[in-house]
Amino acid sequence: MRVENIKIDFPGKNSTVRAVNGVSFAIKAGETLGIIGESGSGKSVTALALLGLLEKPGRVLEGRIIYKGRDVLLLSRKEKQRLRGREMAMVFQDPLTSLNPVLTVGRQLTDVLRRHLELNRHQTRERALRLLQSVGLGNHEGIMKSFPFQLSGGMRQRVMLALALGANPSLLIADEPTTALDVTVQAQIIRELHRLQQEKGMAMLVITHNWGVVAELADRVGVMYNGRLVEYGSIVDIFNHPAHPYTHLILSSVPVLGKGRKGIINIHSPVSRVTLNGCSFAPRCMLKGKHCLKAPLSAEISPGHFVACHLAGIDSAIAVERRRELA
Amino acid sequence: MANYIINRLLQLIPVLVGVSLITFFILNLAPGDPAELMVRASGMEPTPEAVASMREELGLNYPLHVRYCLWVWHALHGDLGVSYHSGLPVARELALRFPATLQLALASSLFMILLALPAGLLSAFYNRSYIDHLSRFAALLGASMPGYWLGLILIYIFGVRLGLLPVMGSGTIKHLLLPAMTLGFGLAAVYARLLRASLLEVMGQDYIKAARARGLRERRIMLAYAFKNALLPVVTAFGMSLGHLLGGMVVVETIFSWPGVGRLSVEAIFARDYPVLQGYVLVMALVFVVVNLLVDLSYVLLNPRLRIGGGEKR
Repeated sequence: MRVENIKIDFPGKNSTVRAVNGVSFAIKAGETLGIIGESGSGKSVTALALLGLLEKPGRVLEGRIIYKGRDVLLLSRKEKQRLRGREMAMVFQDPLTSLNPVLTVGRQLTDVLRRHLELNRHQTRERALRLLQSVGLGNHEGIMKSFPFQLSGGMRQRVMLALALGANPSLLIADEPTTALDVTVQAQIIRELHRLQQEKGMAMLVITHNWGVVAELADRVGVMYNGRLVEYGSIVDIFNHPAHPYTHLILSSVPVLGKGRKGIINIHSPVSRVTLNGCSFAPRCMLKGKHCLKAPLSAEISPGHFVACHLAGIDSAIAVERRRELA
Repeated sequence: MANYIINRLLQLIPVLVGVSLITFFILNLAPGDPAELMVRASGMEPTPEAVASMREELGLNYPLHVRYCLWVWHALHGDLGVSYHSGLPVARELALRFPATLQLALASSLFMILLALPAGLLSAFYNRSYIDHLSRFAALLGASMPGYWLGLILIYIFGVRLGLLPVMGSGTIKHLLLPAMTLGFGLAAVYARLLRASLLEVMGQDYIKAARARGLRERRIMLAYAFKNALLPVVTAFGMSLGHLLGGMVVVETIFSWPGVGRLSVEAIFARDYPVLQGYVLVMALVFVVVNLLVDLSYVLLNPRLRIGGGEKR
């Protein structure tokens, strides 16, 4: 899966909101990419675009989404339907609202299997039971007959996983898979995701605003801010050598036991307009200078580590100095 | 479940008492003296003496509250009194007319479902297309046309102009068509709109997006995933608007000379036939409550959360 420079617009009555502005990344089989960013940064919209599920009036303005050599954006509606669930599957944030309240788990599960796999009744049922077992749901006969409201949050998310994995997709997109869950259940679901990915050799795209999830699952990380990937690199790059001021800021906003938070972010999140000039992070950046009036291009500061900031890379010495001054 | 049903049936008692009390007293506020009308009807001169003796014969000489208590006492023994007009027992009169009303109610409900379900589904599935606009226009038309007007128009077109269908009386399927259409069309309009709105709302839910993300076909999503959820508010609304159906029945039965209890009640009003009217109101209240109970029970069937009880976790 390769995403090249996609831009997504949501045209409104008076102005158009550019939710995603030139995002590129690639995910290989067996690899996990984590995308981290605050609410409204365009993470979920990107994920929906991959599946061809952008809701009107949102549309992909330009760019390509190459999956197994084909551009998803150019596929017909029917082809996209075939792709979803069969090739790419998605796990959503809130398992309660993402499961149909009036259909049993079994019904929803067999529906996916029947849609994508050529199985008879008996085989479908067998496979559904195996799937429930594979996502760590014990009493699977009973679970087949239950309605979503009868299950706990963690069980529901496991059901969502089973639904997503039904047809053995090669890419799993998890959009904040643990946000709606208790902390202990979060850990279980993350472990489950990790195990299933290892077993099946899937590619995985994890969207989150939680560094913990990224640290547990991701091989590479993209930091998203206001519709752009401001930093993109291996997990070691991002955690040990963060280069973008925004990455710095959000890493330092993670509370450390006994020390509290160091960085605090202005709550104010800007709404991107098509006509925005300069670096979009500048209004909140502690290090901003006159060069920030020009939009920064993404530069590779070390192999596989890209940063979109004037102060990163060659200028990082200046950045370090400014940081020292400000501290 | 059984407790629930028993509870609901117990609620019948206060409803029936209230309804009969209200109609009893309101009826007596209406101008016109049934005794005088009876005397006139029998071709006699309504002299004060004749009216007084008729009043005594009908039991109207007692004070109002005594009459009510007497009526309740008899009603509890299954005796709803005797019609002033026909001299037949009210219970028998109602029993004779009720099947026709039931037949009409079922036929118009069937007509309504046959019209509203496809219209609502198509309208939502092809949202904002010409099919949707057409169906919404038809629904607007149906909702704004009063039943008596639509009835007369249908009589004119199918009965007078085309001569295809009989315009009054009952007996054959053909007789049933026009009154059922008149009642069903107005209802279908309301429910097609409601179903469309409900479906569109459900189609915006997360679980529909999730079903799409699993590659399910749109048609299947609409029919299997959205429809059942969308039906819940529609069913609730149907239970609540049952009164309109009963009211509409009275008008339509009168227009088409349908020999049901609705027309009986209109005749009773004109003749100040108090016992028949009291009986009609009582039976309709009973029907209303029972049908509402049935609607609520079907709601339970549709909604597993009610069926299995509470949001209990396993």
